[in-house]
Parts: sequence; C-alpha cells; structure tokens
Amino acid sequence: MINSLINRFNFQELVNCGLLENLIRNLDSTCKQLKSEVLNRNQFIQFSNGFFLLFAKINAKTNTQFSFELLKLSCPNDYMSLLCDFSDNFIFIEGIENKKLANYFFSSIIKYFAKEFNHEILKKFSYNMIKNLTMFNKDMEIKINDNVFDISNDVQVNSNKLNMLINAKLQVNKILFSFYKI
Amino acid sequence: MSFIEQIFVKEYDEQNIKNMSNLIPKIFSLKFLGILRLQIPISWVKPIINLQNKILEINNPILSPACLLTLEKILYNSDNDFLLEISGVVNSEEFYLSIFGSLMNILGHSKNIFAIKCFLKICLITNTENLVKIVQQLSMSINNLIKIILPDTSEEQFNFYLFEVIALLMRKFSPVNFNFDANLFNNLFESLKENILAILENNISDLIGYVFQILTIHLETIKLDNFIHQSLLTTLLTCDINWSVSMKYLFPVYIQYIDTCLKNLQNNISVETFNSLLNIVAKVIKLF
Repeated sequence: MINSLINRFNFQELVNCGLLENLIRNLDSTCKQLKSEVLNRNQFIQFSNGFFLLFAKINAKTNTQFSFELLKLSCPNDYMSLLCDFSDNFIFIEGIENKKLANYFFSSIIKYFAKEFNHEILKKFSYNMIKNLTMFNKDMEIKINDNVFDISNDVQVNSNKLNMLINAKLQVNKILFSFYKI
Repeated sequence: MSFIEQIFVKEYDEQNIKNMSNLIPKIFSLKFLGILRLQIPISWVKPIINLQNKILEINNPILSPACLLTLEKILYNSDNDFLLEISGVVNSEEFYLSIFGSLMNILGHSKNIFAIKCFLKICLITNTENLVKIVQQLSMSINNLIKIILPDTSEEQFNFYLFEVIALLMRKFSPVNFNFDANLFNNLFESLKENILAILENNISDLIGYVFQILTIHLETIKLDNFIHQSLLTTLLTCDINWSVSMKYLFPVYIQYIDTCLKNLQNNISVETFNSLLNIVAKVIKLF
C-alpha cells in the first residue's frame, strides 16, 4: 500500500508546489474575515492566538527566512498590522513557552523587515508589546534608544512588574529596545 | 493510394484480421509501425489508425494487444502536425464512436494498461461536443472500471490512468472552462459519486488520494456549499489517523482539498474547524 502511495504522491509537493503556502494564505484571509465578523471578543482571541502561534511554530521549526518564504504575504505592513492585532492579545497566549516562542518570532520579523515597516505600525506594535511586558509581576526597566520616534512617555516604565520574559529584545535598525530585570 | 494503403492495409482485410494464421508476422508488422512512429510520414497516420481501429473493433484476442501497444505509442506522439492529423481522424463521428466502443469492450474484460492509456488519450483528443454525445456510455464504463479495480488495487499504473480519465472528463465538462450547461457536469459527477464515495467508505488507501483529487475538482467547479464536502471536511480534520506519519504521502492532496474547502466554505467555517486546521498545519510543518 505504502509503495504505491510513494510512487504516486509526493509529500514534498506541499512546499514545492506551494500547497502549504496557499493554505496558510487562506487561513490568513479567513482570520481577517473572522476578525470583522466575530463579535465575541474571546472567540476572536482564540482564533487570533492560535493563528499567530502557528506562525511562531513555523518560525521555530524551520528558520525565519523559510517561514517568510512560506508565508509570503504581499506587503510586510499587512503582516505587521496582523502582528499588532496579535500583540494586543499577547498576554492571553497560554503558557510561558508559547509566549517566548511568539516573542522570538516578533523580534525575528522586526529584524528582517524593519526597513520596510511603516513607523506608525511599528510604534503601535512596540507600544503594545511593552505594555504587555510590563503587565508581568517583576520590576523591569525599559531602555529605549530612540532616534526615530519616542514612545517612552506613553509607557508606564518601572512602575509595573515583569515575570519571566527577561530575554525579550527587539532590535530595529535605529531603535534598540532592551528589556531586563532590575 | 499511398504505399501504406497499397501494401500494408491491404493485407488486413476483415477476413485476414479474424484469421488466426500467420499471427507472428501480423503482430510484428504492427509493432514495427510502433517502433517507426517517429519516422513515418504524416500521410500514413490516417490509414494506420483507421486500420488499428478496425482491428480493435473485431477484437482479435492476439492482435488486439499488439495493436493497442502501437496505437498508444502513435497517439502519444507530441509532434504538432501529427496531433493535428490524429485529431482530425479521431473527431470524425464514425471513428470516435467505434474506438470508444472497442476500448470500453476491451477494458470491460481486462485491466489492459495500453487500453486505458489509449482511452485517456482519445478522451483528450476528442472534442467536448463529441464527448457530450456519449457521456452516458462513458460514465457507465468508468463505473464498471471502478468496480473492477476495487477488489484488487495492485495495478498502480492502471488506477492512475483511470482516475486521470475521470479528472479529464470532469475538467472537459466543467462549466467554468466551457460554456456548457452545469447540469452536464453535475450529472457526470452524480453518476460516478456512489462508486467514488465507496472508496472512502471502504477506506481503500491506494485510491483515497485520487478520490480527493476528484472531489477537489468537483468543489472547485461547483463553488457551492455542499453537504458531502461539509461532512467530509469535518471527518478529514477530526480523524487523527488521516494525519499519521505513515499517511504523509496523502497530505498534499488533503491540503489541496482543505484549501479548496476553505475558499468555498469560508462563510460557514466554525471556531472548532479553524482550530483543528491550525493544529493540522502545525503538525504537518513539523514533518519537514
């Protein structure tokens, strides 16, 4: 049985023929559609988190370049705006491992596409992420080397606590966000 | 009258085809045409395939297999002038009616790989307008063939070409590609549905991949929410065994089917379905 399947069907077609890529694009558009249609906030969070966690898993399993080859969304800003939505919900991701995974994915994305991102989107994303990080329970200092825009006044630094995401580090060409425990 | 008609075709009158004497020279002369298929002049094509049609029609049990072997080689010649000439001959009413009749007759009795390859090629060459006239006979014949292969699926090549024939006919009758009545496509699918779904119900692993390819074409064409597809999608997503590593060779057809479902059932997709999909994609990615 297996021999005939191997002869006729090729597992590698999933990537070589773009089948997986097509499916992920469709999932992406379904996610967008659901966002506008689903009124229940919790339901949307459930969709959204699951979807971005999947992206993060692709990234962790392969490498960032591969995952972007696979995802190939038409414009990085579209992708970033999706991430902004997700960063709103970051706090709701279950489990610290998943949070770390998602966080690593974010920093990889920013590293690759920093030059192409719209600053307003990047600002919103950064703001959301810092807000999320400062919702944890240990003291944290956020150092911002900001040559492009200033978000320091928008975020309550030092007053909140950070728990475990001590390695979070977002690097952008002209901006460095470092998060560390004090 | 060309050389081939004077010397070769003349030898094969009806009496001589039925006659069981001198079979070895007859078989070799037919095979000789197959070997020389790239060298023979275009003016020979018509008399040769007409002769082959005649031999298949009479269905001499010894000459027919040799004839199919040669016919298959000639039909698969990709030269444009050749194809044009073949297309002209095949689409004449007397030819396509008799060749389909002969091939269906042969295939009804044996899983002859050359016959099914000729069947596919003749379906490809025959104009859709002509195929429409014999669609009932074609679907009956295909249904019989599916029933024949179900108990023994070991003839991989034969299975492959049979499902290629089904896919080709569905695409030819698709109202998307041609301005035909959608009923024609629906009737063809309805006539084949029972046997195709029996493959899934009986879990015949060797053929499941082909079935999903056919169902993908169906969904792509009808673009409608359909009970079969709704329930099949749910079963596909919820049965873990479908996604076991040993079945990974079927993942491309599964994913293609799911993708088509997503495009067409987008308005009815539930939270559970979406989450199952995410889990499956994550599982598939881990296999790379």
